[in-house]
Amino acid sequence: MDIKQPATSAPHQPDQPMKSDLVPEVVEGIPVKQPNTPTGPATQVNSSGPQEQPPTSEVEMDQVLDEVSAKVKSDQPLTSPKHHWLGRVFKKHPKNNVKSEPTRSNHKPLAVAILALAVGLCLMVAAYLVYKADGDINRSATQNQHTVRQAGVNSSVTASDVETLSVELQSIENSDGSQDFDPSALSDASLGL
Amino acid sequence: MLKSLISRPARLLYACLVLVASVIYFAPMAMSAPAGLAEPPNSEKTTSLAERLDKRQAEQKLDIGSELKQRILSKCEAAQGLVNKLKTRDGVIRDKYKNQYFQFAEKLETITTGLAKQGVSTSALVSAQQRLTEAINQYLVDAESYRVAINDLASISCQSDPEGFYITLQAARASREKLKTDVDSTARTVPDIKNALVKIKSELEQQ
Repeated sequence: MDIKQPATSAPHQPDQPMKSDLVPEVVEGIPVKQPNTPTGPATQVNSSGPQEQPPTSEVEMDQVLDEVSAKVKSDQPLTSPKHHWLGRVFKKHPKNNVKSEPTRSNHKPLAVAILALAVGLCLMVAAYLVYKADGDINRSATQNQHTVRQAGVNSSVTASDVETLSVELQSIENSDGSQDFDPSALSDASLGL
Repeated sequence: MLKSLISRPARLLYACLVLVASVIYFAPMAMSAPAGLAEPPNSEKTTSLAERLDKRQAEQKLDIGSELKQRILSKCEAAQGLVNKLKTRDGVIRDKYKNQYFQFAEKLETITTGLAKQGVSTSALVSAQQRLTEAINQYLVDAESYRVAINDLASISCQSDPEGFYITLQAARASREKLKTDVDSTARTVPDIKNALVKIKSELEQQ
């Protein structure tokens, strides 16, 4: 991109460069805004031929360059290596926070409900398995009891079995209702009435 | 922290599931009564406290005087603390007797059936067994009445209903007295069973 030097600009000293001398490096590749002057645009990008109209003054040129510089700075304020960390802190994180907060609040009840349902299903399965296992145990216990009873019925009851039963009767015979259900435990004196 | 993470419906769901799982788990553990023994139903589930109080009032027809009423009002709450301790202790004893009776009745039934199959005369044993069964059934009925009465005595609001507290106390005393008699009556059936078993044993030894 070439920017034409204004034809009417005054000559200047080479050892004291003006702003306009630095312009081509700064605005290269970026469209330049046309100033609203009655005389038309001060500069034109990729313009050529007879349509080219030089800026009226160096002051206008400086204004254009200032605007371009300001635009470049505003478009990429934090991309310079010096302020790269600032860009991370002040630019990206707030956007992420704004987006992530509603997401978390929207998904949290759903996640909890799914978790509750999953755990609930596990509990139901566990309860069913325990119930089934208990049923099996009870069935086997009943079968064992039935087997014992059948054994008592089918096989002969021996004198030893009868003796064992007589010994077990002893605990019932020795039970003492007066001690275990002492009526005085509910008397007015015992209750402090 | 956990409470804040889990929503209220989820907590409710958990509670229901735990309840269902507990019922499923513990229901099969209830001991079933052997043949001939009838465990009475839980009357606390079928009647309200007011209904039970009305029934006791109708049975006892008590009218407590103002002096007794004042005495109950001033001391009944302390008495209920003692009743609570007694209730716990009595529950353990009732269960001990119940398990003992159930286990023995089951074994006796097995032996009696086996002996009858073998052609051994069991008429004396069966007669004694029947008396034992009747005694145990009477114990079970009175134990349930006592359990309900002592529970009501511990939970009734004696300050607002001193008459109800007193008639419930009288009912608990009567049921406790019956329990003592039932245990002794059951024990008195044992010698007959023992004698029948001794005869059977000698008969088996001669075979």
